[in-house]
Amino acid sequence: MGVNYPGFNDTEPLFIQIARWLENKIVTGQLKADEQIPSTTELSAALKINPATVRKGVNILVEKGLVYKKRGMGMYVAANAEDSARDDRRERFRDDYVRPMLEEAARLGISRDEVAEMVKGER
Amino acid sequence: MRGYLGYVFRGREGLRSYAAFMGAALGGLFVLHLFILIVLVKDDYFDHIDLMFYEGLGSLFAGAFFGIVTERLMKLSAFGGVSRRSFIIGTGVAGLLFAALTSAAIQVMYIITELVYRLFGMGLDCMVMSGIGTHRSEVAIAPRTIIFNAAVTFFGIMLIYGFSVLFVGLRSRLRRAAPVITGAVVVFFGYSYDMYAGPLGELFGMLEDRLMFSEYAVAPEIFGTAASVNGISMTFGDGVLAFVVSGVLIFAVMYAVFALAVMRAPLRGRG
Amino acid sequence: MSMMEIRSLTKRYGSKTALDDVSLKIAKGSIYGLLGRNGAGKTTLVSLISNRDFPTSGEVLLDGANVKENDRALKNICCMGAEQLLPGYMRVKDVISSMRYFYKNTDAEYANALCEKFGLDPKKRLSRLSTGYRTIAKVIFAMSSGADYIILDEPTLGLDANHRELLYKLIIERFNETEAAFVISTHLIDECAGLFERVFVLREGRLIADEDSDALRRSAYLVEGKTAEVDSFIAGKKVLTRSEVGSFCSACVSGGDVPSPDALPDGLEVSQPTLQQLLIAMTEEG
Repeated sequence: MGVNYPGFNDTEPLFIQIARWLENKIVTGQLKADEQIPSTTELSAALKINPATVRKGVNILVEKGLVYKKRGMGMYVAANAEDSARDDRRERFRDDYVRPMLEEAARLGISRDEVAEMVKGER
Repeated sequence: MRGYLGYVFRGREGLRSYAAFMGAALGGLFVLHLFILIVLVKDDYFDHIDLMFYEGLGSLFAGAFFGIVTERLMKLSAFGGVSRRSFIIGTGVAGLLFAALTSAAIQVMYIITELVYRLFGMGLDCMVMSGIGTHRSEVAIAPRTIIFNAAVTFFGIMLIYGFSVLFVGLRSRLRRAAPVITGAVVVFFGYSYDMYAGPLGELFGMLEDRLMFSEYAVAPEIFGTAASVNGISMTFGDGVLAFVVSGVLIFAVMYAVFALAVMRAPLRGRG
Repeated sequence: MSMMEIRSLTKRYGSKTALDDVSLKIAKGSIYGLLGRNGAGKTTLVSLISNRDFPTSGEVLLDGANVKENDRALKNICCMGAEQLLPGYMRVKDVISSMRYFYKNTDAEYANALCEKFGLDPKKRLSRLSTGYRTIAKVIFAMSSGADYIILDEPTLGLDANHRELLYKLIIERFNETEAAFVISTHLIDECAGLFERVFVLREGRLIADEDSDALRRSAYLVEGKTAEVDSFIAGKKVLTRSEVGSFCSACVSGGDVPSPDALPDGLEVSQPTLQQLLIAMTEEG
């Protein structure tokens, strides 16, 4: 019952969750290229999270090149961020989603073929 | 420290609070005097009344209020990050100054009441005049009388202030023993006074003498000068000084115990 | 950077040791969590910082100067706690207007704004307030004091959920504005975990943790599965707690790297504890 905001949980480190939250907004185009992201002050007050933690999360995106700092003005989404983030997510798609799905299928005795069928049948 | 003293004299819970209490008490005593006046005016027998309510009851109220204000200030100081040392010194300064101010206020009330009584053809006495015979009305509100009386009142106030801070100080360390110990001290003072026993008893005796023969000090032009009574010189300055200094000394002794107690007292509040 | 240093602080009451050789540092510009069970010594620590009580040994230093009986240092420290310190007959607005004599940088306007935000009537006497509102009043006093070091001991006592959320928001906002050091002691750990940059954990008077809050959480993990398998996995490791449910068992293990799911034997699940779960494990009896 920690951060009272959708998408946040109690077990993962908060800075990672913040990075993911911002990244989601970038990947889905909700935050566009050269658009300013919410400031550390705003984010920390709204989410009630220590600003140092917020900064740490934002820095992850800076390191990935998704976000850049304009001196005296704030943090902005990089020009190719949406594509870059999407590529990154695509790479992680296998580890984050495919693997767990196959592990669960194995646990339940669902064969690979059955899984493939389900995937094909999905609209 | 300057900040704390500033609060004691300008803040709401310091002098202002004390003055509000004292004002109410003195006002009440004034009403009491008027009531007595009305009752006695019917009786033509009296032309002077020996009432020491302002000096007597007034001092008791003053002491109680000073104790209450000191305890409140102690709590505020603990909250506000004031060192014990600053609080203790502040209490000492407040004690001397509040007592002086209260004594002055009591003299003012006395004068006003005396004037009111005179309108009805009567006179109100004060501590100093209690030993004097028929010349009261001439000297009742003479400057020397007022000053002498102020000194005596100051002594009384300092005495009760002493008991008060002693109680507050002891309470900060020993919740339950405080009233018992303070009570014992008061009884000791009473006993010393009654029996004139011990050095304290001698002090009281010396002050009593000054009081009894105050007419020679206050109005020598009327009563003549007693070169010396019982081997004690009775000058006006001497009398005033004796009461003021004795008052400060007695307060100082009990204040010292208060200081020692509070210096190491844990002020953690309740619950 | 202004710094408060607590050095080998010990407090004994007769035969009971409330604080045992506690040393830690509190720097301006950080928010700290002070955690521990009831009676662990948190409130005692706060009373020693605020000069309301004196240490048996050790010292509290502010920028090198001992805080004990030091008016100048104490002007920069404002503590609030569960105890009734202020006279109950005083009105909230009276306390606010008195504060400038004690804390030079008191912001009375801010205090009044906070009263409004919380719905606290400044004309009310302290003794007339409910538990929650009395806590709110004390928090408002501390936060508007303008002190560099603000210690809040149980600022959530009696507050409903809405007020708690409001409080956390206000703390962050005030912190962003003033960069004061905030030390918050609370039992609602998961709610507040996001606020803390660093966390101090007291257990029976001793400091058992002084760490970055993320690092602390990552220092332990939960293992769950069939009892026999869990037990063989945790053998030789530092186990904080272990509990059984039928033929299953879960344990909280501290130290070492968190094993990745691949490295785990089949049938065992590993997960991260919340800060509260970890704290319970660290401060369990025995």
